[in-house]
Amino acid sequence: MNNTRYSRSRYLRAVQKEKRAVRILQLSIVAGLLFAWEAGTRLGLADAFIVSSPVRMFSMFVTMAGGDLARHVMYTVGETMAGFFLGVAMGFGAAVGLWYSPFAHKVLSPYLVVLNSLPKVALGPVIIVWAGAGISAVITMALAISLIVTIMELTHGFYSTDANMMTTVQSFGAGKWECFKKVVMPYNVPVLFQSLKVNIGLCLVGVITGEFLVSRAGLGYLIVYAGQVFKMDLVMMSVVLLGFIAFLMYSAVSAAEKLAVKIINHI
Amino acid sequence: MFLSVENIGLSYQTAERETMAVKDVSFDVKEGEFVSIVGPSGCGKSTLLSCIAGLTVPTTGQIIFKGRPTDGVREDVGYMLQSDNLMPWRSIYKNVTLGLEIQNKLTAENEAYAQSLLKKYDLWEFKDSYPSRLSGGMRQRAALIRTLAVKPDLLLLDEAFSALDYQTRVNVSRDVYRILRAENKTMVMVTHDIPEAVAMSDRVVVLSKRPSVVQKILTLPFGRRRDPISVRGHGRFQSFFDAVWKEMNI
Repeated sequence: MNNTRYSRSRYLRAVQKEKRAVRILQLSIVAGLLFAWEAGTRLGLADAFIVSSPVRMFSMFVTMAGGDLARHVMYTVGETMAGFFLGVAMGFGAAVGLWYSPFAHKVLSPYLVVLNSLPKVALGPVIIVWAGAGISAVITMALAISLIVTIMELTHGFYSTDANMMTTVQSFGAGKWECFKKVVMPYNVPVLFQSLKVNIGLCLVGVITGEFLVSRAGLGYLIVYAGQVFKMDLVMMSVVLLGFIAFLMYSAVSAAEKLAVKIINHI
Repeated sequence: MFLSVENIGLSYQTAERETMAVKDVSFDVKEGEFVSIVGPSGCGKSTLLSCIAGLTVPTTGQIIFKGRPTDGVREDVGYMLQSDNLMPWRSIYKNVTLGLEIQNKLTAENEAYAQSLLKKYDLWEFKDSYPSRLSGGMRQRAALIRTLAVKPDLLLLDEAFSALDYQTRVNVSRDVYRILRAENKTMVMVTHDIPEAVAMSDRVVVLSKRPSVVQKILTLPFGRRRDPISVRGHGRFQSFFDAVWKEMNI
């Protein structure tokens, strides 16, 4: 008994140790890259005017933070959230419809496939004309990029629901809607979150693309503007900030998933 | 007659061909009787059971249960499939009351009955647990209670134990046998396991290979109060096994 407890604690220590090593190495990679970048520009290996540098980015961040950086971030985050929630709601609704009517699914499948492989940026001019040059165009672009994928993933998940579980509820006389509520939906919670994770990233892509094309605010706008006036510090700072925002959003969805899976699956 | 299976024929349609699985099958089941259906694989025995459950419409013939033809899922027939199909996101209690919930029969009286079944069959202390914490045998018992909770007059078991390992399977079939006899249910069981059929049933319907007809109906003399495990050591057990085996391989 003592022996097993000892090996258990040894196992846990080893797991902890590995976790720590991974984290330390991850941080070292970032620190190393930043250091090499800064050192490279200081030593004249690269021109800081062209490639910027961590210190210049940081001072740009401090300058901008006193100005309207917050407004740009709010625009980008707000548009992404709007696109995300709209996309999830519409995608979920469409997927339920396509599950409910296999006939509609058969009819519409090829259209989904075509829309899915179409590069949505090509729709840019159409979107600007139809939705107007502003926030609505940006959100529409986010939707254009994320919606089809959501529909396809959810529909596939719904159709892959365990057949025996379905027969079990059907044998109690459950109708189609009841099957959905009692089996299909709870069974597909992991699929739903998987698609949310993909969705949040795609929405951000859509928003930045949209901002490139039309807007007067947001990080995408900032990047294009700074590129045109050759402020590489501002371009790089915005890109890094964008990466940070993407990471935070993904983490939020991931945390929500862990919670939901815990509540629903009781593992 | 309690249940009449009358001239059932079943054909599967696919784009390539039509396959006749069941040609013409008829048999009767008396109230309180335990009837097993055995046959070579592909003879359509599971689909036949699905017809009795009202989940599949037969190509020809009809099912008459309690004087009424079956034309869809009916609340007086319970159906248990291979593997327990408990839902991992529901507690045992919520799983057991699933049928009542679907049929809008979650009354105090029905819930009390479900609770009494849980108590009687040793699952009460697990009522708030989730299926992943239960052993295979316990899960199968929970699935059976889920079916019994809606008080069906006829119980259909479709290879209900075949997902279990051998030891659990034999033990669970004894559990299930005792519970079903204690609750005085009428049962039709489909199995590919001849010893299981001989150990549990009053009569065995042997189907021929596809397109199937009733090859033979054997009546077993072991009585209602047998033990499905020790009956396997009964002097005449082997001879019935041999008889079923012979009919199946004609």
